[in-house]
Amino acid sequence: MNVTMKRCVAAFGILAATAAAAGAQQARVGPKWQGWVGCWTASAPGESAFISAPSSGPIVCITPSASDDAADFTTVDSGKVVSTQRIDASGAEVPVDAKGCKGVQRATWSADERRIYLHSASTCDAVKSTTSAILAISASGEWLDIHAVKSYDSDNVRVARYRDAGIPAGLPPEIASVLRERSASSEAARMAAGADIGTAAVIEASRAVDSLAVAAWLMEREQHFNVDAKALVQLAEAGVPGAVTDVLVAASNPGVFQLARASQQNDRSTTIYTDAGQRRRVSAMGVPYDPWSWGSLGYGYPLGYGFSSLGYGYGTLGYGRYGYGGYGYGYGGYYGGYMPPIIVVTNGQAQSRGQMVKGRGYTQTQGGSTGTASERPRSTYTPPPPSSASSGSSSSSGSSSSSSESPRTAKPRP
Amino acid sequence: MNVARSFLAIALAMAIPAGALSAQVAGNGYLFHTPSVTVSVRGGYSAATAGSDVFDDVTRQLTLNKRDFGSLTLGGDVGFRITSKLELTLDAGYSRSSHKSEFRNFVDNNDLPIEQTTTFERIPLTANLKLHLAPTGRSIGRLAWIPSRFVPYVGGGVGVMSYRFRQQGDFVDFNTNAVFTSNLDTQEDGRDWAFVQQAMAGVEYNFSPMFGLTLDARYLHGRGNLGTAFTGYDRIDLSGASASVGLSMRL
Repeated sequence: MNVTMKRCVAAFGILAATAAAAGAQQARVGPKWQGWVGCWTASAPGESAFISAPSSGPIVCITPSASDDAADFTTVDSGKVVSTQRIDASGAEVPVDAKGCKGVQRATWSADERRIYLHSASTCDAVKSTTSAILAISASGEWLDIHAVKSYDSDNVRVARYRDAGIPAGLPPEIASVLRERSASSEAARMAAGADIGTAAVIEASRAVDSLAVAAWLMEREQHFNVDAKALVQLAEAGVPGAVTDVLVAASNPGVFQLARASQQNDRSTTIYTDAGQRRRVSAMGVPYDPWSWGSLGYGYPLGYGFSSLGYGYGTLGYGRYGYGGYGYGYGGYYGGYMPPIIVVTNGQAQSRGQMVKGRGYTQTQGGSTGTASERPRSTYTPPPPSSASSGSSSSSGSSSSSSESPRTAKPRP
Repeated sequence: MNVARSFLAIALAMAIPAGALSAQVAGNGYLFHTPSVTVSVRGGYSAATAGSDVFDDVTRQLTLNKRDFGSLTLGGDVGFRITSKLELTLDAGYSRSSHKSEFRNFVDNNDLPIEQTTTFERIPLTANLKLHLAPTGRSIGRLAWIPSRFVPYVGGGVGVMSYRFRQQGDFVDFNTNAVFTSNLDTQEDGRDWAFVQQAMAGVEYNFSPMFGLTLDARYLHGRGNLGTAFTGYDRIDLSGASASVGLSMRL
């Protein structure tokens, strides 16, 4: 009898465990970390996601952990592991303590398990800051790392993009072997994670993280939306801020608006690569990877966003140029950073106002400053080799060389 | 008919360039900005009260009824947004009745009717405050403004009216029974002006972000001088009620 009872209990236990496992399997609705698994290198906006990775320079390799919710972020430079950080998106609050900064961090999955919302609060040298961030995959398979940082009364948004670096030679074998096993599934998961989003995702993100981060995320996705009045009302009634709906309106009407990153003239901590053909400025930051701010590894956009002064009398609007406090959500400190998305009213093309003055000829009277409205990045742009990113310069200085766009001038006809 | 054709032409003239403009200023169900100006045209019917004694005499002696002084009307206004519910409109209208008649009680010595034409023309120019009884629309962010589907309104204003009351044709001299031809006009040079007040109510039906249909009813009150051609009469009653359908465009 006892034996029978034990067998029954054992069988019940197996059944229960199987059911629980099956339930857990069924509960999984998205790719979770699978889309992130792999090695990543910094990517400039507009850079093709399919060009080969640079042969040198730091990369971040993301490997799965025993938990579905957690993954390890390992920075590797020249074949050596620089640091490892575990991100646990289970929603558990995790204490962090690094580089004289203390605080807590909490990461959660989006409902579709395609994005991670991350919050942190930290104190570094008595300076408090909070960060909310979105980690997402773009439609082209890039990893978007978008942080909104608040410190004192200053707000700042910073974006970093990463593209797949494959499995570089010289990768530590324990990481390389894990990635080889996962490469096929990662590809499919990445596609799933980067699929188009709808208003539900926007509402969820707006509730989860700072609106500045959401606005930047929507812009960086480069997804064409088609929001109508009904959707806008739904978004507004769900509490989605105007800064976010403005981006959706702009992305829904590309013939009228152009989302752009405005250039920031004085960014001393970055190397500016200039693509004169597209009037787009991209900065690469030669900053070693920091365990608490992996976003500062590579290309960031120290490019402010602001409204252009063109078009229908919106005037020179802007969300304001926020000073950057130098504190990431982590503890290393970011370099650069940019302002929230702007919407440029294109109205065909930018025009400045001018007049013809007797005795003086033509003169420009208003607007038309070159370089403030950047074109939407295209996938044909190939930046120079990121030599500065591999230079190993100190995290506080970065690289200082820069090239700027030459203003268009006239000269007498020969 | 001319008034109706004019209304149609103006509405089309408004709609055709606006259609091209629409793609630049409106998205899918919303404008890219809160409209600050609304331009409307309307057409309908304006009934004249015809309450003064000059109308009494005319309708008694000639084959005219008071409703003959009513006519199709054409109007338009430009509205400037003051608040989300309040609008200042500058309004113009035009109505003109012209009817042939004959003496009810007299014919000439050939048994032919003694005919004349009576014209009553009114052009009110008013400034009005229009109070929308519901929000005209809703701003979402800075780049989207969604119009409300139905917006009732009431309003009122003051202004001036250019008017003309004219009779041309043959008339009977009651002193001599002679039939004479004459032109009796408000003033020697035609028009005269009077102060008017009006009250209005209506509803706007917004069928697109830029365009709406308006059903409008209004009553205008005013009295004006009659010139020396109409001696001894009270001031002419310029009042009347009108109902119209309009097309409005938000800018």
